[in-house]
Amino acid sequence: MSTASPASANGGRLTKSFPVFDCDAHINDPLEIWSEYVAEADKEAVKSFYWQDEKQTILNGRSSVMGGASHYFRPMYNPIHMAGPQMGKAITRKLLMDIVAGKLDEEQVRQIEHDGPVDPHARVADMDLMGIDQVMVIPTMMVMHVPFGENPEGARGFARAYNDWASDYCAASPERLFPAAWLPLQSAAYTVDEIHRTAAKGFRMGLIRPIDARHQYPNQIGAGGMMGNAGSGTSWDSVYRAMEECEMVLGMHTFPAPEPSSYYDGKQLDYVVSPGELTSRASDPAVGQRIDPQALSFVFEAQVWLVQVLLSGFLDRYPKLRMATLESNASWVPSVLAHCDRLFKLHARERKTAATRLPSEAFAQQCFVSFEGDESPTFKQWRFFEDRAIWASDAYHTDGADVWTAIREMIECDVPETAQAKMLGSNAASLYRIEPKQFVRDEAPPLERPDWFPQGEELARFAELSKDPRTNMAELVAMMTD
Amino acid sequence: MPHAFPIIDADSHVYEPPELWTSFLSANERTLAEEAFWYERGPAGSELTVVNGKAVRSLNRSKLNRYACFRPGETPESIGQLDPSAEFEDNPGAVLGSARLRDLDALGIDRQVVYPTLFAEHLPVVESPRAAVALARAYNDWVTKLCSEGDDRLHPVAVLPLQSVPGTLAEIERVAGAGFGAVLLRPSFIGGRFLNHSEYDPVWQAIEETELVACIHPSVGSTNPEFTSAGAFVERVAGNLDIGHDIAASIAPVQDNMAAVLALAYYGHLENHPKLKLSLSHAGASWFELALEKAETYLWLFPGRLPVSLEPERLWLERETAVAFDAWEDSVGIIPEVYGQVGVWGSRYPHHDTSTPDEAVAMLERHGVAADTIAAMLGGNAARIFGLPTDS
Repeated sequence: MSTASPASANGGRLTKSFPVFDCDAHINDPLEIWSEYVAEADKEAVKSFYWQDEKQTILNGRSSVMGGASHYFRPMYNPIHMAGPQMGKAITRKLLMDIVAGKLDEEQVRQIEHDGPVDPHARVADMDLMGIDQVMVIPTMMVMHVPFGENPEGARGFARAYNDWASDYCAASPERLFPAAWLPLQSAAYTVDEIHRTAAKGFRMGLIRPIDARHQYPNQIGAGGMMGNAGSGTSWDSVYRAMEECEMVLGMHTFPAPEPSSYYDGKQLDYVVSPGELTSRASDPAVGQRIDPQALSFVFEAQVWLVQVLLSGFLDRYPKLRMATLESNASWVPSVLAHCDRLFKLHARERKTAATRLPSEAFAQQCFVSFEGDESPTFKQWRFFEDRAIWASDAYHTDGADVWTAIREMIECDVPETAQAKMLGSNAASLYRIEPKQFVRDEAPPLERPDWFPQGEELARFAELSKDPRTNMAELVAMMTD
Repeated sequence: MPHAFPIIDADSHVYEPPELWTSFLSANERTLAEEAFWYERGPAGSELTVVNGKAVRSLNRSKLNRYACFRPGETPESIGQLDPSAEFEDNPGAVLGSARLRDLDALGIDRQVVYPTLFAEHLPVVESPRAAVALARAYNDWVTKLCSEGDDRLHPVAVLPLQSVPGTLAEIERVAGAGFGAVLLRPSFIGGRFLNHSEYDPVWQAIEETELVACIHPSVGSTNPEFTSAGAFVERVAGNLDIGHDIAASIAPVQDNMAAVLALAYYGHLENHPKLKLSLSHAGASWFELALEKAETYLWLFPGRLPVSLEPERLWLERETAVAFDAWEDSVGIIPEVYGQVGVWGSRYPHHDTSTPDEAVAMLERHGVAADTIAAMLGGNAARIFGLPTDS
């Protein structure tokens, strides 16, 4: 195995010798799912469940919700198509400011959006630039809205349509693109069927979001089981057993907290659906500064799920299940595990559930957690994460980044190359039971950008001033209006 | 084990006794408190907690008071083997300064910063502003008495009646004058307002001006109404698993403190109050960088209305900030370049998950942290932030 180290001969660009597997990147749920993949027999049910056309996205036949199409975001760019090759926070912010300042026309805005979220060939070209050999693709706005869908038959028809579309999308490059299965979680029985169907098609991961949408938090495994009687009447037990049987990875994929009232005709719910809601609720309307729920909602949803699983003995009940906690960062995990171990011992005689392993042991044996390229605390703890962490680009979502960013940060944190190879590639390949293959070796030279694209000294100056906008407001305004 | 440097425990607790309600409130205030927030204990370890006119469940799920059960020499394993259906006397150090000092000596702790337990959990959800003002004053008077028995080694953190901004400002002035060094700000919603709410701007201003330490300290939140903090949600959904004990303590305090850091970064509190001293406690420390990094990322990507710093991590590390770490947090020992600056050790005494200075020192030594950095993390940093002497 060769190293991934700066190569001064090519302008500091990196070379890598190991395959990189991006465990969690995104597509943007395209219209073709509805227009071409929903079976005729399912159309009415899917229309009453979750339906999108060129103009609108409707949930439960009544609630208009924000789909992922670009028209929802205009005149701004579509943040689901942004983080591609050689992008970054400063460029993205500058582009946004340029749009606000009226410096970019609609065609220029369209140009800065990448086509990869809907076009597999464009995606593979971007992967070459981003240093990504293989990727597991995951949908976007569905993750936000569909947990609130109500009609089980519609859920079944929609899941089949999405999975068939995702299968075809990935077939464009079958050694590099791999789909995650969407599950019709409105019905445990339909979910079991879809797990078997998609497993037979080669899907390696099924997605569940750990939130309490429709009061169906996905831990209700109690009926007739060792977890007592709670949850009887709705049992997810069969779902997790099907995942074990089919060797399908349980992909706990989190998302920004929704505004639940948008699904219920504006009516406020009297319970929390996602723990991330508490951060957005902290926004003070009188000030008008919105605290973005994206910042911590992903982390919070994952944390709440993981501690329950580990303190209850859930994984003892499903010993063959392998679970990936996705899009939730990783650096918090070691300390939470250590505290859970302590609490596990402290509650030894109060615990009613059958749990035989310390939380840290169960985690080490059955769990993986994804991380992103800017997580230096995770890299500094690489000995803990070496066999448990899987890298995610989160492309093309706005905060996504390429693997070169991750490698640079890992080198900075003295992560050995063997650990880099595991965390950036082989751990995910092993988890997903996919043969790792390498297609990319060298970091690409800087892309040719049009004159209007943020770059060079102007971008550097903008980035520097932006760090302290209070002090530099006048100069920033001058840059925008220049 | 004696150490060559002073040990300051930056996060310890009392477990408030019924006497606080019966002896530290006037007759009129007691009438208010009986409805707003009242606590009493009966035979066989029974408890009654009334909040806003209704009985709320105990923080404990069994007869074992997990918030006052730790004694020197106990371990997680030994506490875990206690019979939860049997009566077990609380550690008297939870309510008596003299008993507490004996424990400090046994544990090798020179000084303690002292937080409430029941008041942290329940005071923020009291609806009556007048009752909250009276209760806060009563707690602060009671804890003053407890700490006065502590040979100048116990340093109380005052609670504030945030339901009333005028009442809070008055109490800040009173406790600052009475020698308190710090005030507690629970990262929870109080009447729908979080700590960054603009109505609290005068409170932050007063804390800065009085040079009190703003101690952001969560409570588990298990007994609170939904939307107060993370704990109620965690406990409700975990109920599906019928685990047999509460689990919110494993993660809710982390989320509450992360939310506070995010909110203060988004609203520019460190820029607005350059002399503010902040301490973040009872949630571990190793989420701290992540919370600031996430704030930074989303402030960059989605500019808001306020011109706040896009380098919150740099800003928070430059300022007088303390983050209390737990002895089990290896992450803190692996990253001393950050936590050597801001890390202060907290025991959680006498809660059941108390850790000792010996455990903390052993963890840091295991990761090769330099001796002077260990001394800073076990005492020097806390002394600096809280303005405490460094004598042993």
